This record gives sequence, C-alpha cells and structure tokens, in this order.
Amino acid sequence: MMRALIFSALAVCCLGAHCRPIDGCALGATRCNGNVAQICDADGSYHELADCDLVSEHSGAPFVCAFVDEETEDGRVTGHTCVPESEGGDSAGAR
Amino acid sequence: MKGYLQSLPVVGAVFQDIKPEEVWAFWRFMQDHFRTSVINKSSALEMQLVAQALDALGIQSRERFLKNFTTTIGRRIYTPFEVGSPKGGWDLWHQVVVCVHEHQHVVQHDREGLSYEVSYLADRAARARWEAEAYRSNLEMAYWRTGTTPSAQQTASVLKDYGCRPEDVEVTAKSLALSAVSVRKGAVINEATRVALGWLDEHVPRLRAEGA
Repeated sequence: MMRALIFSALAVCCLGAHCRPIDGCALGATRCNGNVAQICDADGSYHELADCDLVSEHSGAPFVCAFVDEETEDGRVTGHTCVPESEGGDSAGAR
Repeated sequence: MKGYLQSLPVVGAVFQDIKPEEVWAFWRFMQDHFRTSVINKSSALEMQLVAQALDALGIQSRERFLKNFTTTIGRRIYTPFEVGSPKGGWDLWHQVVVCVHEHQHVVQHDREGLSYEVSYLADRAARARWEAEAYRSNLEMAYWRTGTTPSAQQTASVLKDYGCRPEDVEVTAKSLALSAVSVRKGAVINEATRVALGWLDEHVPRLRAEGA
C-alpha cells in the first residue's frame, strides 16, 4: 500500500515536472520537428513553440515551419517558426 | 495613466477608445465560450491567502500581487479591477488584452490537465513556457490593434516577477520574437486569440489597425 502511494506520488511529480529525457540542446536553439517549430529551454530540452498545422487552421491560410533570419525592432531574429507556405521554401532543420 | 484618465467623470469618455459596455460584452462572450467565471481579486479569500504566502516567501509583495496581477486558477479568473470600469493601470483596452491572456491559460489547463498546474508551480522553465504562450496573445492582440508588435525583450522581462531565472527570460524573449515574426506575416497562433479576434472583428472592427 505504502509502495503504491510512493509510486503514485512520484508519477504525479514526474508528470508535473514534465519528466522526460534531456535533449542536451543549447539554450534558445530551434528546430522543425515535422511541421512543429520547437525551441530549447533553460533545462536543455526542446519544447513546442508553435504547431504550424494549428496555426494554419487558426489563420485561414497554410503555414509551414521554416528558418527565418530577419532584422526587426527587437534586433536580428533567427530561428524556426511558422511562416506562410509561400515563404517556407526548404529551409527547415535544426541550427 | 490612460486608465486613470478614462475613469474621470465627464471627460473620461474622451479617452475611451473602446466603450466600457463593449469591454463588458467581450468578457461575457469569452466567459461563455470558455465556461469561465470572473471574481474580484480583492474580495476573494483564497487570493488573500495566496498573497500572504507569496509575501511570506519573499516572491512578491501582497499589495503588488493583489493590485497589479490578474490570476487564473482552473476556470476562475481573479481580476484586480471591475470589468468595464477603467482605473489606474487597467485601461479598457488592457482589460481586453488581459482577458485573452488569461483565457489562453484556460486553454492550457484544458489541454494539459493537472500537469499544467503542477509544472507551473514546481518548474520555473515550465512556468516560463506557459507564460511565453500566454504573452503571445498580448502581442497578437497588439498587432490587431496597432499593426505592430511590442518589444519581445521587454515583454519577456515581466517573467522576473514570476520567479523565473534570467535564462528563462532569455529563451522567452527569443520565443516571443519568433512568434512576432509569424504574427506579422498573418499568423494567429493562440486559440484564445482566435476566438477573441472573431468577436472583435464582428463587433468593434473600427479598432483594427489598417493592414493587420
């Protein structure tokens, strides 16, 4: 009984802390995983930044995951995100 | 300042871009859609207890938590303002934006279940991710209203108030900057924003920026 309780508590904690293998990626690194843009967080794991299929549904136009390198008001922004299909090209992949 | 000006008797209306009754109707719509309730933060005993705990832990002062932050737990949204009544720090458009932000937290609650709540409390990197997603609604709303997006760095810096580390703030700033690129290309990423923009386009299209 006690063991079951301990395992249950561990399972809940694990679930809560998103227990998963560490990817060992660099902070802020991005990639496309299928049509999902992902970003590496401070704990060294990739997490979803945006699901471009969902973005397409919400926006009423097709979006694809692609690498962008743009000069913006925030400075130079580089990484993977969802862009209109017409701009997508074949620039996906981790950097 | 804007909220204060909007709250002035007689002349306040001059500073109101969106009308109080429109803000109220918008909140009503979002609450109906997401099945949420709104509770005044200052009169909620549970919020007094949370404020006390945060103060005792040295995370945030009681006063600041109760006055400056809207908080969502499950489907209950605790606001430090009366919806549709402008006041200092809470102008009418800001009330619209915060409504969308908090409802994106409800979307997260629905999507992830208990793990959302637990990781939000227990894991700083996870908290930064949840807030990065919710703050994305703020920039989506800003783009609809003004045709521009606010500084990702500045937006992300508010995470310091959430007990996040500098590295969490850094990755959030990058996440928001990349999201802003998508938004400026016409993307609507968050579910709460999609629902909100549907209502705003129909009821207050005059507020939409040209080209947004």
